[in-house]
Amino acid sequence: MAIERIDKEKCIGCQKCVDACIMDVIRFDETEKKAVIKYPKECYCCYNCEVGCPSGAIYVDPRRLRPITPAWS
Amino acid sequence: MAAQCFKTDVLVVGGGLAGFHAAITAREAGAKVIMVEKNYSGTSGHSTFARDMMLFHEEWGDCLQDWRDQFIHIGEYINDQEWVDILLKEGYDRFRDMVNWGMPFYLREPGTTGFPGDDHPYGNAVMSDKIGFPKPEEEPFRYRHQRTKYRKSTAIIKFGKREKLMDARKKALSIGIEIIDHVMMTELIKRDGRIAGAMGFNTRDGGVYVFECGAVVMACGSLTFKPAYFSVQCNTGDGVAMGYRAGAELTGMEFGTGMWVCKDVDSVTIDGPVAELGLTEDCFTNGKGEEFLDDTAHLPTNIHWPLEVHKGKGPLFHEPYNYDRSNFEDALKKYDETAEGPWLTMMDRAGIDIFHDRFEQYMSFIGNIWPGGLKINTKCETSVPGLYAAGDSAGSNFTGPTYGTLGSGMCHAAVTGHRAGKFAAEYVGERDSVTFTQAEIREFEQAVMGALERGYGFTTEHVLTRIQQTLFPYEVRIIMKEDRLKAALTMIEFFRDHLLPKTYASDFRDLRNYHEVRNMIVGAEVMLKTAIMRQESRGWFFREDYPRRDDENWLKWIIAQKGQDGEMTLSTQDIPMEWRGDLSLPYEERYMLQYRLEED
Repeated sequence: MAIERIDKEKCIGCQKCVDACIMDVIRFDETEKKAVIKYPKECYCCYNCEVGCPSGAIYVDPRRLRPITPAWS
Repeated sequence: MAAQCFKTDVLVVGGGLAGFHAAITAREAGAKVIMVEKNYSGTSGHSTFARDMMLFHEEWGDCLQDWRDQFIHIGEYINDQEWVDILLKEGYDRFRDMVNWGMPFYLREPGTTGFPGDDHPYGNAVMSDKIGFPKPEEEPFRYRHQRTKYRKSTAIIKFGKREKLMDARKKALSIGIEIIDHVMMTELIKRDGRIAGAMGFNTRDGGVYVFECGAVVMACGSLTFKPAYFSVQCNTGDGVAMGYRAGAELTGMEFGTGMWVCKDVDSVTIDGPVAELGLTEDCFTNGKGEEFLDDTAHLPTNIHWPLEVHKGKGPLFHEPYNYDRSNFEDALKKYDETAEGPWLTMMDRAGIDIFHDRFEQYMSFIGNIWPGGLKINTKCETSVPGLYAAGDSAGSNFTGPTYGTLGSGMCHAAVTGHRAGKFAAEYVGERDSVTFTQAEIREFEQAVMGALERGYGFTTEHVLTRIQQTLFPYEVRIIMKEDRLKAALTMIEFFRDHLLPKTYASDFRDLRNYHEVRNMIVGAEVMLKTAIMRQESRGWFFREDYPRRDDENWLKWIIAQKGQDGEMTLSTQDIPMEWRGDLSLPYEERYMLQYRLEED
């Protein structure tokens, strides 16, 4: 659901996703020098991270973790 | 950590298209400029996802009167027509500014004329392949939003890439604008009745930031409630709330926006993709399997759909005809590259084949994007000296209760951003700046960070969920009625008076959530009270207790302002007589959109 993984093998530590995330979900681990998912519940599936990642390390499922009250059911 | 203090001439709050136009224009006029953004300037806000801009240019054969008429008919005479003219006439210069900053656009295929959507069976599925920098007077690729035929006059250009604002960021940094990211502004500061500064905090390390400045341009985007539509998640009415608390007038706040989403993949609107891919043979059915939209559904109406559900004939479905997907390979690829989101990828991953599967959809109430905000004059001044507003934060009333054409939001952002920057820089001029005392700074720190100190009580997530549960059911803000609006207002007031004071933030990131829900509550209160006041229907503003336009009593704008005693005051301003159109026309001729509330 939502942002599911950042593949550590593929991540080159460019931080493009950290800057691109509109909800500040992704942070940079200074020790491992890789991007990490910190606040997955805040992810609204905009795909900025996956689309912008130069090494295809990120996978986002289109359904959020946090449900939103629908207009009608 | 001690608060960090900054001095500047013009503080631009918000790093989207409006903010960049304001900052660059003010800087080029000689002002010292700081741009501050709660996320990252260049990838955040609604502008990031917009891919179109309305562009009028007489030299390319556009007829001003036709474009004006479209705006005014769809806006149902509530538009501020001075702003309509300004947008149409100044959009071209703003477009040239952006090209000069290094923003690429889609270019016209050499040797072609006209608009591709006009005669192609797949509408806008035909797109240019070329991206670049149009020379002066060279017409870029333009198209018309074919599916909504009542928007037939206006033409739209396409930004050449998704990260368009990163070019603006490069330009801003190159001319000496200081950009501070991950700092959320929470309050304006006034002295002697005018703007003296603003306060906020860093969402990463919790540092308090205090700005002393001569003018603030509020470019924080619109008021939304984190709906099912991903483009607007950053836009939680921060500008509207800060301005309101500082005493500025707001207008157009009663109007709202909904978007069509697929029920199982509700993060992105499907209206755009269906139109842009030219899936013109699709249709929409109700729970009885009937097609329920008439010709006026091609208007920018969001009312017929929830009305169908209200009449008990839901749910609603998108019914594809059996398209051969290979006909759309090119369009699919281009769409996913340029669109708001990789919509087709998203649907694929959810297991939905848009070409063959029937899927359920609903309307997500979003908030107030284009119509309302901080009331501005043509210099983008609000009623608070030194406070300017631009983009979706600004209530110019250019579009009335609806959205007159695709791309008008970005045109509005660019044109108002430029004007706000220009006039803010002029205002600052020779003004002395204020310096805050240590005691004042300690008060600011407490105001910004207070919610972090609680450690227990209600979570910010709980407050957000409650706000959404209150406002998102269609019967509250889309098919409206006085008793339901008052019920929602009662809840919002409870959240304001009881929940919020007992809410805590768990970390610096959550403190952003806290201030966002705090701002949403302010915006919701203005939105609901002004909606209760307008006793008529008009455009997207539909009330089942007043289902007709009331030209005699409601050709007016509603203005909301915090009074001296802290309570909201509401007033009205008449639409000038010369803007009211032909009042002698029969109702069905004057208003293209008919609601059809009657039971079948």
